[in-house]
Amino acid sequence: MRVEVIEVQCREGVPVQFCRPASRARASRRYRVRAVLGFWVEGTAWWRSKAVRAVLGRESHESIDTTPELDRTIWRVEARAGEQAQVGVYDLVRDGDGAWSLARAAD
Amino acid sequence: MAAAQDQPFTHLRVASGWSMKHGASHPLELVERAASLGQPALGLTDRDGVYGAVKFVLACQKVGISPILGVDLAFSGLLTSSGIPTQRGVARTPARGGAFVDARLPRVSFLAQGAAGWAQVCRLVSAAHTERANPVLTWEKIEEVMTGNPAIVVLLGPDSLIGSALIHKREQQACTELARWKSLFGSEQLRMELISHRANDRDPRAVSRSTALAARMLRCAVDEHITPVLTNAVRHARPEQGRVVDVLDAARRLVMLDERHLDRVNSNGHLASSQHMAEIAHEIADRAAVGSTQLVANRLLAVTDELARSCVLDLQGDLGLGQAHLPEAPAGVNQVLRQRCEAGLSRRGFTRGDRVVTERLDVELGVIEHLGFASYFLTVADIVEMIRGLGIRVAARGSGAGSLVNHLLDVSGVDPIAHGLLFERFLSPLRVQLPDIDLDVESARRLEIYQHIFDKYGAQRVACVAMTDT
Repeated sequence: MRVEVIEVQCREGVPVQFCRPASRARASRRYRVRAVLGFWVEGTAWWRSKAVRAVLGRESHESIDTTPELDRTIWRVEARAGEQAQVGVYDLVRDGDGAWSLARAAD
Repeated sequence: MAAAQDQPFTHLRVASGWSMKHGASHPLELVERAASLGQPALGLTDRDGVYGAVKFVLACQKVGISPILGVDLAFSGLLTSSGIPTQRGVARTPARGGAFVDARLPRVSFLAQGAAGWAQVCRLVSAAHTERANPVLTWEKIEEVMTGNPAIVVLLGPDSLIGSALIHKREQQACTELARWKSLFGSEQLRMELISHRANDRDPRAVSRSTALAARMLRCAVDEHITPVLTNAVRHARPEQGRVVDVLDAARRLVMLDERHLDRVNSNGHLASSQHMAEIAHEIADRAAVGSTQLVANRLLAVTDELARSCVLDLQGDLGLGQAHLPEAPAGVNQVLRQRCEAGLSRRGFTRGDRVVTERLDVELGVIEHLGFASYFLTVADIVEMIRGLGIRVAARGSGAGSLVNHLLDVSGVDPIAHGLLFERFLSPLRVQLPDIDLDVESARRLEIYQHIFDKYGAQRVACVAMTDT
C-alpha cells in the first residue's frame, strides 16, 4: 500500500484540517474536516517490523535497536478541499510516533 | 464534573501471568503499577483458576492496596430460541490447529464478596474443572454450586453469550440469556460489563473491544435494569507488553503470529490510568446516548467504584491467609495419635520403657498437639497405608524422616533415633508452618493413587498442588 504522508491540524486531539502535499498530478490541497465518522485504534503487525526481522537475520543488524511501534489511530472523517469541492471520506492514520498519513481516500 | 475525572479508578478485570498462556504480567507488577497510578484497590480475575491469588494478595499487602479476587471461566450453555440450553459443538479440526486447541467458548467472570464469596468462587473453579484439562462451566454446574445466597457478582461482558448476541444485534436473545442469569443470581448480583479498547467496530475480530458495542451493552443494561460496570479486561501491566500477549495467543492456539489468530486488537488492554478510564467512560456514555453524557459517564464510574468497594477482601478474615487448613478431626484425636504411636513401638522393635524413646515421643506428640496437627499426621498415615495396600511402593523423603511419630506410624522407614535425625528440622513450635511430609511413590502409578485419595476423602477435601517456584 502506498503511504501518503500528510499534515494534520487538530483541536483537542481531534483532526479539523489536513493538507495533502503536491504530487505530479496536482498541487497541494488543504481539506477541512466536516465531520468525524469514527475513530479507532489498531495494533500493528510488530512481528513484521524491521527490528524483529533483524533478530531473525532477515534485516541488517542495525535495525535491532529500533522499537516496533505499538498502535496507530485511525480517524475516519468527511472532508472537502474547498467550499465547492465534493465531500469525500478519508482515513487519517496517526502512527505511534505521531506521524500522520492518509490510508484511504474515497473522493 | 471534574471531580469524577480525577477519581481513582479500580480495575476489576485483570488477568496475570497465572492465566496460562493468556496474561503477560506477574501479579506484583500489576499491583505495583496500580499503586503507582494512585489506584486504591485492584482486582484479579485470572482465567480458569485462582493460581495467582496468594501471590497477588501478598503483593497487595506489601504495596498497600486492597485486593479483590475473582475468576474468569469458560461457559458452555447456549440458549436456543426455545430457551433450552444446548451444548455448543466444538469444531475439532486438527487441520486448523487453532480451533482444535482453543474452542473460544463464551466467558463469564465472577467476583467474590467476603469469605462466603471467596468460597463460592473456589467452588465454581472446582466445578469447572471436573473434566480434566477442559475447564468449562455449565448451567448445571452453577446450579449445583450456588445453593446458598450468592455472595459473588457475575460480570457479563462482551465475551459472554450476551455480548455475542449484542454484537449481532440480537437484543431479544440477549434478554433471554440475561433472564436466566437473573433467575439464578438476582439482578443485584449481576453486572453488565462494558469494555472499550477503542477498537474498530467494523472489524469482526475487534468489535468486542469497541466503544460501539460497549454503548450497545450500556443501552441493554439500562433497558433491562442491570447495573453496568466499566472494566478494561487487562492482560498486561504496561502497553508495550502487548507483544507478549500476542505471543501467548499464538502459543495457546499453536499457530503462527498473525492478526487473524490474535485476541488482542491494540495496546489499550493494559493497566490504564484512571484518567484514561474516565475518558473511556465518557466516550461510551456519549455513544450510548442514554442521557447527559457527563452524568452517565460519572454514574458509570461511580457504580464501578461501588462494586469495587463491596468486593474488597480482608486477608485474614475473608481469605484466612496464614491459617492452616487441616483435615476435620474428631474429639480425642491427640489420644488416637498417641495410641497409634505406642502401638508402633514394639512393631518397630523399640523396648517399652526405653527412656530416650519415651521422652522423644512425648516431646514430638507435645509439639504436634500444641500446634494442632494431629489430624494431619493421621491422614498422611492413612494415605501411606492405603498406598501400600494397593501394592505401590512408597517412601518418605526429606525432613519428615526426622520424626519418630512418622516412623511409628509407618510413614517413614528410617529410625530417627538410631540415625541421630532432628525432629526440630521438621517441626518446631517456633516455626508455625504446616509440616511438609514428602512422599515418593512409583511415578507410573501416581494417577491411580490420586483417584483413590479422591474416592476416599471426596473431591471437596482434596486439592492438586504444584510448586512452580522450585
